[in-house]
Amino acid sequence: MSSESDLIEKLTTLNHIAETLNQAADVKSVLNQALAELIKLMGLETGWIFLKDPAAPDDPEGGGYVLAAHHNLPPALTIDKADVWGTGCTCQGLQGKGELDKAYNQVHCSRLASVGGDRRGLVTHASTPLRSGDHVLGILNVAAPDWASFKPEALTLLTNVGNQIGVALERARLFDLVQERRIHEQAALLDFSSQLLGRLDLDELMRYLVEEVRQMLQADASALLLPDEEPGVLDFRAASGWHVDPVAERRQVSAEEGNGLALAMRTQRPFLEEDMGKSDLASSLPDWLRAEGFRGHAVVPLLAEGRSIGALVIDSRQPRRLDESELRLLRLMANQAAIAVEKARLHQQEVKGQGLEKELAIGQQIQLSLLPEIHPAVPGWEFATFYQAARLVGGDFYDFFDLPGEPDRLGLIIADVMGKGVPAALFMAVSSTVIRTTALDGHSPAATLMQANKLILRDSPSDLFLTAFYGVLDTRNGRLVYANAGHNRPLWLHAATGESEELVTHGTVLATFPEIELEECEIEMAPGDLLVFYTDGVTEAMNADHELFERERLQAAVAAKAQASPKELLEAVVDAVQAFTADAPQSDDMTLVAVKRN
Amino acid sequence: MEIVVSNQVSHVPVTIFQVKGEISAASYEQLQQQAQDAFKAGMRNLILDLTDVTIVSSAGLRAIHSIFTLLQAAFPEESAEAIHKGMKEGTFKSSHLKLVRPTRHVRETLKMAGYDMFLEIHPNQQEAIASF
Repeated sequence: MSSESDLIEKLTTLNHIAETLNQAADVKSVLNQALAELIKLMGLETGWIFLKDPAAPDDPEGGGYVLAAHHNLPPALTIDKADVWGTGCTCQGLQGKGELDKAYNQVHCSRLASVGGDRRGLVTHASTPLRSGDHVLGILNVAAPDWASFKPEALTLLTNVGNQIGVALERARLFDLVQERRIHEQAALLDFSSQLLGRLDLDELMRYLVEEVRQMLQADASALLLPDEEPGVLDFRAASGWHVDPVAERRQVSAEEGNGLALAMRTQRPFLEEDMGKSDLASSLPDWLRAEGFRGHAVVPLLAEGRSIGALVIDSRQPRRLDESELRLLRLMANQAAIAVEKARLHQQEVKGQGLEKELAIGQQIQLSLLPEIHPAVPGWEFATFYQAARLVGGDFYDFFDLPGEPDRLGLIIADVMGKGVPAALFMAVSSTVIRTTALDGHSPAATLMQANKLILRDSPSDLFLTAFYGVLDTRNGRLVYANAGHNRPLWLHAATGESEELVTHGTVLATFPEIELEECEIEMAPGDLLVFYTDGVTEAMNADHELFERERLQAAVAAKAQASPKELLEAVVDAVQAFTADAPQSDDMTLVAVKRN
Repeated sequence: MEIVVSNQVSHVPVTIFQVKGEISAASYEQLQQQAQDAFKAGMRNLILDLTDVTIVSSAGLRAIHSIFTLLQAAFPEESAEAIHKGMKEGTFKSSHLKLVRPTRHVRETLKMAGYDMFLEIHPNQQEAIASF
């Protein structure tokens, strides 16, 4: 081999190691692979990597390290020997004393020296500290029978790869921090949204106001009117003491005709009528108003920033003229009402922005911030996702996460809030955080969803609800344990037959009943099998003829791509949906997640 | 979507909404509103006849759920605890909202969302009325 092609090969391998380290979200899972390639590149046979427990203090005796990767260990050093690997050693001790300070260090291995049995002649190792700046993350060791076995060129490679691993570990640490921050952000959002959901809405506020006014003035009836979207028209928004509720009847009054309301709004002054029965107004009253038999009548405009923004009305079924003190009280109440209405309106505007579009944009932002940006990196598994927001944001959500303390187990959530806009997105923010947190506590899928249901309902008294599927996938053997709270049943595509079946379980939607009962089931995915999770935006995609895409079409699209990668499969499904709907506008979000066991 | 409203008296007064068409994102608010209006006018027991309903979308499920909640709220004496217990044991069914004759497709949708766990489904209006 010419030295040039030798160099190219080495560079290629180095590059490959760098790529492997950088593409994995979980660096630890690829350390073995990087180590194996390095050892081959150095022309050696054995090596291992220690990672330092960040919480452990520096220890001159060694210790505080865990074996994170190893390659081709001699029989005397196999990892099942706890007494061999559980203790500190020379290189860890040197590191602890700050003496493992060179790019590579010659260490006569105390671990190799202390064990009996077949050591394959290994005596010494070159140690490279794995660092991020001054921060020690671990130690990379490659072993040989003697120091002469390490060629200078090989040691340069060792240093180089050591640096790469250090960088990758730091990147992974930062990534974990970002993940943690995301959870914090979600918690902040949770706070904000529960406040928002708990706030009195404008209608509640107005109902409270008219009731108070009527009682304080001991009037027979009261009402609050606000301008309709149509100019010149006022809507009854709250009323008390009426025989027929004008709000429920959606009554409106012209603000332009010569009635008391119009006059009060225009002049920004109270309008008082002692007895409507005797005034000219009586003949012009509509039947529904005359039927109430009002005689004494008073209107006070709600004023804000020099404009009339509505009116408060007090009626009595006997002739009555409000005296000065009563009028003053009424004006004070009207002022309070104006402030409250304006505040609630501004608050609504703030949330709604300039209209529905802005609201939906906010909703979408919240929603997108909740979706994971990367897919899990699990050897032997492939993941793909697709998300498309509709004109009206529906509140779709999916997530993957490692379960703490349970290596090789991955949590999978897909959920859909029934609703739209900011409330739905906030509700999803609350719900997804709750489900995720409950899942991370280590509950089983059914227990997780049942517990989350209680918490969501307690925190978010609203008329929104959601469907959710939660499964725990054992990536070693393909077993998926799952529970389903009313969510579209995922499809399980069997590689052996090319047929797909639904994952059927019984369950109810979340945030409806405080106590629900969910079934828990288990399947075992064979190599080549695929799971497709989706939200109803897919099966309910509608064409111009009002036909739905339906599960059957989804199953057909999935079956046609039985051999494809998850990414290709989702692309094909999306193409099929788009071909079906053509240009018909869609009302719901569309989310797809595919998981394949290779 | 069209809704034809009628009233019957069994052991209690029962309102029947004969719904026609799709209960979807475009129409669910109409169903919800109509139920709310009827509720304000005193309706406490409702049958949704789904014979001619072609689609119940997720928005439709939302409407049905909100009607269920609306009616249930009018009966605070039916203790929440008893309902939860019944839900858990699979014995609770709403005494105030019942469904009639959903198509196969609609029935599947209802089942998937677990609505069959708290709403009775009757084969025809007569049986539904008699069940109140």
